[in-house]
Amino acid sequence: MPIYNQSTLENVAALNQGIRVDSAAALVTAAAVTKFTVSGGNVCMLGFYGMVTVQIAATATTVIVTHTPTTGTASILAILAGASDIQGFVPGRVAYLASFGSILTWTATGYGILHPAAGTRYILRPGALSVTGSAAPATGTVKWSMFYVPVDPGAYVTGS
Amino acid sequence: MTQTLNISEDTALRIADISLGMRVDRASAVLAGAQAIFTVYGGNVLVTGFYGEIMVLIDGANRLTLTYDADTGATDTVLGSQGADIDTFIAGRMIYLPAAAGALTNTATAGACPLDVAENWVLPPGHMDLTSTGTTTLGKIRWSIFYVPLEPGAYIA
Repeated sequence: MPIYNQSTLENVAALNQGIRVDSAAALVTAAAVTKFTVSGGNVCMLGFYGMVTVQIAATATTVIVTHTPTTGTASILAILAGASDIQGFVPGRVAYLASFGSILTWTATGYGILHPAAGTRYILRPGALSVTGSAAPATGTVKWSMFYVPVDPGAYVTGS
Repeated sequence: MTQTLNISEDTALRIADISLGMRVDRASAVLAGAQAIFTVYGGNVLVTGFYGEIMVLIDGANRLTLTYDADTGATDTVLGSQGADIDTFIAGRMIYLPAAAGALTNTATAGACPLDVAENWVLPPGHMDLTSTGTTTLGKIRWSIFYVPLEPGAYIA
């Protein structure tokens, strides 16, 4: 069996799933917090997920994901209606976008689904992809990752 | 910035080619009746993605239909059509094809849009036409198609 170095593994992953950008683990807040910024042109988001890294405190909280373009009106990628209350969620539970404009889905255990939906890849215009909680649990963090490729030359995504 | 790889623009675009298929753009243009927006040459291609983006607010009553006119065969194929007038649609709203021969669908907002067509279509040599029921003076839309060749020498321009 071949042994690959780290950079080769990461390049193979980029070719296979798109370029990964991470947003550092952080508390869920009641205000919109930018997790990813699209700059330089349109990109295509191939995958997106969040993972609880520190157990969420016992505060009823739901989460939505929004893409707000630099110009124009925002798109709600994950609606609030029917969203899961994440209080008490343990590390390893994973959130993903089941389909375009549907609820943010949380797994019950430590696995996740990377792609928003079968055959659904999102074009994102320049702007900010943010996460908003309905409340602000005092403890408990979630980290987020996005996988993308540029559509317009020079387009890229940064995490925050 | 938290980013796993420091990738050059050229490398990032090649990764996009591998992931999405090769992109061909049709420059932003006003609506003016029937226009060929993409042409397939040299053999069959597989369309892996398609979308349009309004670049300048639409300033006239228009409803769009996308058809495919193969070089051989008498009947055009309707790839998608809009069910409503897009007059006053703002820049940033996008148009996509969620189903083969279904609705040419508009996003309600300006931030995000699905890329995939419901099935990946095989297109023989011919041209993809955009027909608008009206015209615009200032309103412009740009279009992008993503494809891979199915036969040696096939390409889209």
